[in-house]
Amino acid sequence: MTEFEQHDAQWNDLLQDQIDGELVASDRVALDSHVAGCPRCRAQLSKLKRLDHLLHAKLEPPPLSSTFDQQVFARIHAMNEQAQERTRRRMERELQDNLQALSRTWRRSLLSVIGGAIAGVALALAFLNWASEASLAKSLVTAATNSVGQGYGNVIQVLITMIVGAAIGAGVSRLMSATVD
Amino acid sequence: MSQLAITQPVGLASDAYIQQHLQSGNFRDAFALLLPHYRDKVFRLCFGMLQQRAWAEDVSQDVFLRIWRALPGFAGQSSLSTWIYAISRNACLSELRKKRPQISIDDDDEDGYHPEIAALSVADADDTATVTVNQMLEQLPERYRQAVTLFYMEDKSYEQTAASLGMPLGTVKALLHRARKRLVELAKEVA
Repeated sequence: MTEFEQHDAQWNDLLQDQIDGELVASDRVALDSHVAGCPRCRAQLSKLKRLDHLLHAKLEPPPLSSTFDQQVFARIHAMNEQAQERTRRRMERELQDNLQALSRTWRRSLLSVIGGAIAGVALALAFLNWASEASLAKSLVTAATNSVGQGYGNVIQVLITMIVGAAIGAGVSRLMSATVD
Repeated sequence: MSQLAITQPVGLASDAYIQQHLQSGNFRDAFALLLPHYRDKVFRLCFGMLQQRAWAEDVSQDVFLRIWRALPGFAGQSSLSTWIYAISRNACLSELRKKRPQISIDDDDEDGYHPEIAALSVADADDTATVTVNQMLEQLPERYRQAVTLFYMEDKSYEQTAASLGMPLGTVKALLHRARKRLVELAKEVA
């Protein structure tokens, strides 16, 4: 560091503090005394003062638009409307998705139920036809009428058809539902 | 939003009063109080960092939109002013990164011959002085320029400059001293 650099490092901050009115009393006395006998510091102080005046005069904050607040509020309003619009669209989309999902579920269920019912009845009739040929149905009806009472033979035969048909239909419906999924 | 526009206050509210509204969840009124209180300070900070009036005004509007969105999340971890200045600085830095990526904030060694700085040797400012001052400031490293611009726009208040820039007061002072020293040196080279 040269002699001048050492000198400037020692006094420059104090000179700038003086420009800004930040100099404490003890430093002011020391600085005034030094500046009085130091042409370099006098010249620097003069330049700093001129710079300070120039910056102070020319760095006035520029005027803010008189409609600044209105513009901010308008943008917030637009932003809120956009947010509301986004929310509305999202809710509509979710509703459509739900309706489509519900529709898919209903179609699937209806298909399964109808298919299951038809298949169940067909298979139940086929089963009873086979059971009749094998005298199995007659044995079942006879056993049932013996325990329930005579005169209920036809009713018991229909009940057996329904139970067997429902069991087979439920099995077929489940199978069809799993196949559709 | 119509309610927000209606409730704009006439005078300036204190931070404490604004925070009372925030704590009670009354964000609309809090914002309506906050905007006139911080509008100019945010704009000066943005202008100090961006150096262009129209750009600074646009970004200031963005800042208040960010504040509006973030108000419900403001839990008072820092003071309201610190929070607002931080949002403002981040918005400006984001803009600077987007539009002026070539600027390096740590570039302190950009000395050179700049004829426009000769105007500094002229005692009386003429009509071109504003342009000249701006051109002069452009020769300074970014941090110096921000500190010196904001310091003079804030009527030479170290405290407000430090608060706006989010820096310790001593750092602002050091930046300002170096900036003015650099300007004087540049002028001396030209003279």
